[in-house]
Amino acid sequence: MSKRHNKPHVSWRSKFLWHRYLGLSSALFLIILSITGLMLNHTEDLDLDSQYIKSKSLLDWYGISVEKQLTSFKTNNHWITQTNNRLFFDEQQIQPLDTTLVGAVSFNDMIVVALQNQILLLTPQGEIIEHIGHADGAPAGMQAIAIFNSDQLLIRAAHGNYITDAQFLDWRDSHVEPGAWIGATSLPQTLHNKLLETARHSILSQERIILDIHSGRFFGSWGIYLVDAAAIMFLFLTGLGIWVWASRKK
Amino acid sequence: MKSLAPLILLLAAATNTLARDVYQSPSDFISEVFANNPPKASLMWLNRAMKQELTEILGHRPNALRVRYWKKKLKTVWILDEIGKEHPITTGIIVDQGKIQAIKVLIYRESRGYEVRHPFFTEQFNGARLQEDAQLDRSIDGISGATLSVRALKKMARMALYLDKHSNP
Repeated sequence: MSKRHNKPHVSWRSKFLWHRYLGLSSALFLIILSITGLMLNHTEDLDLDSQYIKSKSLLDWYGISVEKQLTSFKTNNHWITQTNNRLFFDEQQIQPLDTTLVGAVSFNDMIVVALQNQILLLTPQGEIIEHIGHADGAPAGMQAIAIFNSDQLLIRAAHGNYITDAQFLDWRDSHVEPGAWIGATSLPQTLHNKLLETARHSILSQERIILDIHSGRFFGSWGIYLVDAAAIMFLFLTGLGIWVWASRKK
Repeated sequence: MKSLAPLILLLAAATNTLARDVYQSPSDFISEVFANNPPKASLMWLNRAMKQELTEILGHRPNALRVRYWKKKLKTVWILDEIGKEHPITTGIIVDQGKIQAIKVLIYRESRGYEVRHPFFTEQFNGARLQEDAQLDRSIDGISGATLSVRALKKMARMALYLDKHSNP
């Protein structure tokens, strides 16, 4: 009997008050985590992975910048440009790049874009006709492109020079040297700035932001600890809630 | 936050950079299919109707105006690329007499879903034909966590069968 009297007694009302105030203080976290969690569960449906952040302050917050030096070739009054890891036809993005742009030239009513490991054929309007890779005969390690004798396309690659036919089906070794290989040129300043801006606007996806808010990383390393603390608080609240319910039942 | 910038940039770069797993080079695949004696490649230009039908199959416009393929007798081989989530999956597809003989993932660039390269998945396509409604004549079981890659492979299988039909006018 005396043992029972010595036990510290916490009334259900006191537990209830703790539960209430802890619940109120964690409500904001719960709302944020629930909303971001729901969004992440439907990333594809909401197109979060294909929508990119354009806000200057958010991009600055993440410290995102792009290389100022762009590689560009002018052909038929159009500019073929590589920014970081994207390829552009004037202002229009053609495709992502995992390689280096080495040249571009007009040939047989097409624009031939030479990348290190692939040739890209474009219509004069910039529509992709075909990707020609190593499996299709394109030489490995392409370095430069040129027009020879005004009707032959010449490629300089890792193992020498190559010429191809009009359909790009046959590739042959060649020992000819053109007068000059096509060289990179500087972009007009307005286009240069526009492409830099477009490149910067295609790095940070909305999915990344939502993911970082959900995990707390958006606010740096302290944000992660804050979300950890919130998670522990949710666990504590669950336990406390059951305790209050059990106390009241008694 | 500045201290996190390199990490974020790395993550951003990882999603934009094409890290690739090459299981077999497309040229080796073609050589293997034709026992080291591959035929010369053929070219197929996509006309307006074909582009429209392929748009329905792929859910977006085809990424090129002409397609290269290899043909010997009634067998055609297609090397196709389709984006799973963010990056293209390069796949080799053998079509023989209007049905898929084999499908093989050659280059995988996505960060998740690479399980689609395993035979337990790709063998489901063997013998598949294209129905009138441009769907496969069988259902293909998916793989948890690889939904988009599975979807991409199904699209490429349908595309190869569709193109094969047009290579035999």
